[in-house]
Amino acid sequence: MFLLRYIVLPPLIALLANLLLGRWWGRKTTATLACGSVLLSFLVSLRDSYYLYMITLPETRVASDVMFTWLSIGRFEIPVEFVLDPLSGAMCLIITGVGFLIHLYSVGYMWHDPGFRRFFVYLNLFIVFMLLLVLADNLLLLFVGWEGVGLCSYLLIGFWHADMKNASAGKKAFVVNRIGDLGFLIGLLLVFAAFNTLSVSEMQEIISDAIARHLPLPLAPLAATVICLCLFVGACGKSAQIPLYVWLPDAMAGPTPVSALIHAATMVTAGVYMIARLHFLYAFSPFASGVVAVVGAATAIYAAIIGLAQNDIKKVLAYSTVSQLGYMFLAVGVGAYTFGIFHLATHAFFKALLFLGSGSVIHALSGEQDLRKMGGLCRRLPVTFWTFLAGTLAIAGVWPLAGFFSKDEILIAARLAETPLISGRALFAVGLSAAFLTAFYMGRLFVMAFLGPCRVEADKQHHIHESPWTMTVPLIVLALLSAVGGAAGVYHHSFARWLSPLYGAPDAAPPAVEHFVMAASLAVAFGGLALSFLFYLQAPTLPDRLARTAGWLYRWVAEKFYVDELYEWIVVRPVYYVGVAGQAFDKHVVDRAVNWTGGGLKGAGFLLSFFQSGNVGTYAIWFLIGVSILLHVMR
Amino acid sequence: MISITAADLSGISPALHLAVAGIAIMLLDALWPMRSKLLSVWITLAALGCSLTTSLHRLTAGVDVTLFNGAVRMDGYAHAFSAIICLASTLAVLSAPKYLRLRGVHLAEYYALLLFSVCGMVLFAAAEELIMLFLALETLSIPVYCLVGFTRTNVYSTEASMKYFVIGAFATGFLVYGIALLYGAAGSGYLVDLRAGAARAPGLFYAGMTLLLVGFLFKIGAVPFNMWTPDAYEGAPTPVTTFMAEAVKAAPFGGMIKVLFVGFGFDAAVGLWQPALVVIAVLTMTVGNLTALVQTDVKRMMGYSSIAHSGYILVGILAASKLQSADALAAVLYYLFVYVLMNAGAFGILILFSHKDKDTNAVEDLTGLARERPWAAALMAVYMLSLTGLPPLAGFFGKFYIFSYAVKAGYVPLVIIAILNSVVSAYYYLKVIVAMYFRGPEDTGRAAVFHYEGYSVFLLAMLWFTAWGILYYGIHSEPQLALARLAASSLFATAP
Amino acid sequence: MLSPYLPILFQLILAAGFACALLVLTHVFGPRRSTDVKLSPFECGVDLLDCAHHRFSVKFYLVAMLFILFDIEAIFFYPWAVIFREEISQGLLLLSEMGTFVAVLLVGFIFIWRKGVLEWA
Repeated sequence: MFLLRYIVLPPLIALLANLLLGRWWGRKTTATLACGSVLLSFLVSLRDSYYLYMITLPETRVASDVMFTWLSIGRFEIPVEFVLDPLSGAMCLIITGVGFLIHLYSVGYMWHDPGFRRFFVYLNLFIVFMLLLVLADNLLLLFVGWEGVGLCSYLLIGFWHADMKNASAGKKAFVVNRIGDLGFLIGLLLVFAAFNTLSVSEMQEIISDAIARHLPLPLAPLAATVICLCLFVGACGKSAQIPLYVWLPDAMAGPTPVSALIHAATMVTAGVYMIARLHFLYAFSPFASGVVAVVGAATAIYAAIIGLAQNDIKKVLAYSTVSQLGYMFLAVGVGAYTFGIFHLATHAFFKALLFLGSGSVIHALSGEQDLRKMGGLCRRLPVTFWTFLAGTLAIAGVWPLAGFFSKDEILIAARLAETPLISGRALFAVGLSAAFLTAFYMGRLFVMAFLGPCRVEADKQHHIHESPWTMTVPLIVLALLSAVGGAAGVYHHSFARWLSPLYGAPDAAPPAVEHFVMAASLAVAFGGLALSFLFYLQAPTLPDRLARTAGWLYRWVAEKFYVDELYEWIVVRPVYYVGVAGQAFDKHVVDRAVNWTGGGLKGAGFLLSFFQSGNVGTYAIWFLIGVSILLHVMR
Repeated sequence: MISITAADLSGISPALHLAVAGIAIMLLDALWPMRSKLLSVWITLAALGCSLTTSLHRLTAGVDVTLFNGAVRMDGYAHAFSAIICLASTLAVLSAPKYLRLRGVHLAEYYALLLFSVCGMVLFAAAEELIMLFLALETLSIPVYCLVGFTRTNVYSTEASMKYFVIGAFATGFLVYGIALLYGAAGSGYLVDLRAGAARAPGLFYAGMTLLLVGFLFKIGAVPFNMWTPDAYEGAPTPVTTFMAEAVKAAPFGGMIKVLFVGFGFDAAVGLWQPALVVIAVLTMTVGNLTALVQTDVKRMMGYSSIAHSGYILVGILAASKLQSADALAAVLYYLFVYVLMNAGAFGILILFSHKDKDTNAVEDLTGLARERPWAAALMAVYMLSLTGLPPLAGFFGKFYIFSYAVKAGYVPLVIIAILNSVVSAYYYLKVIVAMYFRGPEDTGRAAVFHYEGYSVFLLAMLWFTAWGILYYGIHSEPQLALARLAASSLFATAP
Repeated sequence: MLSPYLPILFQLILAAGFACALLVLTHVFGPRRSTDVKLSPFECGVDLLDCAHHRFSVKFYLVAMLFILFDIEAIFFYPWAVIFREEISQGLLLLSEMGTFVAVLLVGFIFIWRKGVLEWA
């Protein structure tokens, strides 16, 4: 007996209770309800996943729960149906598990904020939509979740909307995501045109049926490519890939727990999830898969380079997230769906940890985010320091922490990949370089924040303090997960076996390749870290001298390759001028036309209301005229 | 051989509950006037509840009985209409006590009259015979004339009542004349026998059909028989307007659809009334919406809006008759259900802010509501957006189902006109929202005060229920549609 | 098709024609000698006390309406009485049906009585 709907319902009920009745109870009840409901969802997900695991035949590990029929027009029906399979089970556990920890953390982080209740209502709403997204069987329902998480993201980025900068960051996220969603929507329509259904399970049945009976497939290779590319445009928007990544760094304007939950651990991985969910479509189009892999690899290295020169602690982490998402796309693009999802899971742990840790630092420093004004915090914030260390080592890919295993598997898959666009070796080289850069900028961040001399401004010095338990406990739990999560996943291939009903058992790589990749990735991890320690701890003047000698290059990187400016010039400005021209046209032509139409309609209304004289005799005459005409006509 | 058996009486028990309760309220008020007011509210609610549950129960159980020598037939269709009407009336009753108390006319007669009217409505959808149809229609109408003039010291109320009565009597004349002609042609008043008259005396028959239709079109407020609507809506006490806008609106469709499908459902007649109804539907939608654009009074605006909605419903009826499909007719029933919720809510908000000396009726009166009473403004916004037909609210799905069946039936130009009309209607519905959310006292130059005078739990319950219904049944329309399909298919089982 | 109704039409024409003819005939042939006394209004042979354009009390209409109402209800007794004889085997049922009818009427009567409609003052 599966309780799928009870995964989604607790946060929904909690948010409604907090929304409607919250003003009559205090923060404690609000917080307890919000956190407790997510914990409950987590427990139900755990229970359901366990029951799923207990089903002996791996191929039949699917459970579904139809809540009601949402839309029905003739024979076209869209039910609200939840489906739990190993993939959505894993996603549910990540969302509710990490989500719960971040909720708990937020209690401490947001305690003094006047928008405390509003914050938790949004946060719970986000969890509801995210669960809807991963549990949906129907793509339209998935789209509801997709738009829903976008809405929550928008609301939470602009949470402190009194500040203009935050509001415009929210707007930017909104606009960029709309571009992606347009692609996604076109993709959905094409899917419907091809399959006449939007249900993933039915699509899969149609395809496997066609293959089994040697019938022609419902979609031509070209159609499959177009559909996959359209859907990928949607994924690019949501998961911040080139060229639609620009919103994510700005999204850091939101409260730090939001950055951890939405813009690192869960929502931004929705694109990866969607491609993994529709893997059977991408299997038809090697070209589209190749595009996914290339864009992923390019984003991975590109964002890592920008991350080198950022001085805002959250901006570094944001670019790091973009880069790691690139890794995931690289994985699903070369067909290593299992490892893409595996990296998604480990990344959720260590990136949530790093964000929460940075939040703890920011909290302690009364809102300071500039790395150049930190340093030497290891004594003052011991718990944060040690947990942050675990996160840093994990993301850098140091054995035996989580990031090592997942990144290693992806690099092996990339090395062995055959895509029509680019050779596996090139993908591997790019991935490895990105890994090196990752280790370097994370080492840099760590050193600048925690080691070396203290550069904190004097007035903020005295109230540096360790965070309350609600904030440190999530850090410790996430640190443990970051430490052992990867090893647990590769132990007896447990994670791969869990996902094998969807993607089959992974092929064993040739040992030579495996060892080579392992050695290489360990080498770049340590190399990157060591170099950063050398640069920023041993010889702090070195980076500055380097920056001066290669000034233009440094500035280029520090200014994020001027992409925002480029977009400003090639997109925003032209759009703006088109807008200005359009506005003039609108004002002088369209507006007048509309006003005339509106005025005409209104005038017609006035004329018609003259018939309404209020005189009963007149009414009777019109009545009689109507009757006469009808009598005349209906003979 | 005459006989009224126990089966007859239990068969029409949904109507009987109401009549008995109405009589009981009269007695109670005569013998025990001190305590009768609140008690009669409860009696009314109980009777409506009984009828509602009985109807729903019998609808799901598939009860289908022909009673009183075939004059009345309580089938799925009649039960469905009975349920919709009882729900609508319950909502209207819930909104009444507060307003009537403020106006000092909280009298038991109000509830008795209302119950008698509802009794007529239930029988109207069940009538299988022309005399019965006429009786039910008059039982339905006469109490409403009285209710419109219920605040009898108010000039506007009495004027509205008088106008409504005169024009109503006028229309009834045509209706009776039509019945007489039909009877003359067919030699029988039973709907199923009418088609014989078309062959025997076509001239008489089609004249009778037209006049009968005129009677119905008057009741639903179709152009050009719509003139009474805005005047009556504006002048009537607001709870009565609520009742008129939902129950008195929905009920005539019950008789009309049945007569069109059962009595005039054969090809020769259909060929005449379908094109006529197409033109009337277009006129009704367009005139209703265009005139609503220039109104400044919400009640009057809603009067015109109700005319426009009649046009949309006519589109649905046309589609169902062309397709001969129970699904399409079910869409009409669903629309009526949704329409009841939206209207009850919208008028409820007006009642919520009406004061002892003054109603809150003008659009301007709602200026700045969102700042002072965010919840009330949010509810009103839900009703208005649903009336506009914005997804995912129930109003959208109501329109969506009707229009999609109309497209299927080949009425594409009609649907295009209907959708253009919806766009026009957005203007005046959104005007209310703009006033509530985007304007303040600084725009109108006078401070609006929104305080609840005469707090009523009944009214609040009604408002929350309707808003919940609009949100819930929009997303979750399937159970309602399934019931409607059950009802519609029982009508098609009778139709030739 | 309309032939069965022809006699009715003739009857109507005859009635209308007869009425009109009489009016015209009296007008044409009647002598007209108007004196003051003949032109003065009177009621039942008695001279008027004052002006005829008085407003009647609304209670008059109320009583008149009630009279008509109950009068019409009484008409329903006739068909019932006619059928009662034919269907005497079901006498008790018929009696109870009329009993219900009368009871409903009675409720109306009690209502107007208690509401004070019948009190003139």
